Amino acid sequence: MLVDFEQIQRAQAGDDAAFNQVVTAYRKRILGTIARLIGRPEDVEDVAQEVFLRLYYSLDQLRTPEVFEPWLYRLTVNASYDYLRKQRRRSESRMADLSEQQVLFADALAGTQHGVEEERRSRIRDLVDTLLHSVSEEDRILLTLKEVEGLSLKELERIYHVKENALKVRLFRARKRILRAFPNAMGPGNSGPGVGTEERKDR
Amino acid sequence: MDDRNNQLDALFVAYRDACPDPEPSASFMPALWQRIEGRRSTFGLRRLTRGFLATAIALCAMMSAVLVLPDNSSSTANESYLELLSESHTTSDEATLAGWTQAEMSENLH
Repeated sequence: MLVDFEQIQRAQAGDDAAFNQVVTAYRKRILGTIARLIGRPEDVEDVAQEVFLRLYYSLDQLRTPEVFEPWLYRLTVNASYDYLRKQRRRSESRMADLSEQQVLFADALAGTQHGVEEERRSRIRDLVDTLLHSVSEEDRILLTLKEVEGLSLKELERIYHVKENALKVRLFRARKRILRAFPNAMGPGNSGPGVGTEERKDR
Repeated sequence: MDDRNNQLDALFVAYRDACPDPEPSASFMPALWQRIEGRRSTFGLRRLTRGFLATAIALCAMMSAVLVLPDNSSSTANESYLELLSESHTTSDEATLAGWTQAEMSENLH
């Protein structure tokens, strides 16, 4: 927990200063999660504000402060879903447009000395995005929360209100599909975009 | 298979590093409070509408109760009036009958 229970209880009681502290503590993490879930940097803040707005108006429904974090993640996942649904509708009219920030970012990159490192990171991002798009949107979000955000099965169980075993099965199938797409995404004879096979840290 | 699983795990870790948490802009909190305030006025209006609706429903219920109850009470009033009337008639008749019987009885006695 990034804040103590007392702070959450004060925010629940209508203390705006306490709510401000809760937002300040969690906003960076929530911005990061949203960025990885929706993939459009220019809309990340907008979606994050929607998450905290929903939090503000539903905080009184939170029964125990202990479940605050899974609950905040649930709000984040739901707001991201809503955004992606809207995007899907919009993308029917404007296909494959590069976001303004992405263009500016690419332009800025061309002249920087970190260009090579950023190019490697960009390749990793592209590869994982391609792999994650080989599964459904629901599975992509679930996999991202588990594999990238590092949430445990217990935490996911609290977020999704689904039994751990059912989540395990869903994750296993999604992972299997990703693995099937893995060599194709890397290309024939490609060893990957500079990714080592070092042991993954246990979360 | 294990090798590919490890590769995938490593790729996810690399992806996490390649997508760091973005820093919030300076306008993040002011914009958030602006949205909260904006929603608050909508919420206030909605709450007012809900209150008005609840009052209207309560008033309707009261009015219908007022309209229905007098019917019941008037019928009982009528009933009791009729009952009273019949009762009073019965008693006066009985009294008359009782009076005549008494007079007749006294006449008979004399």
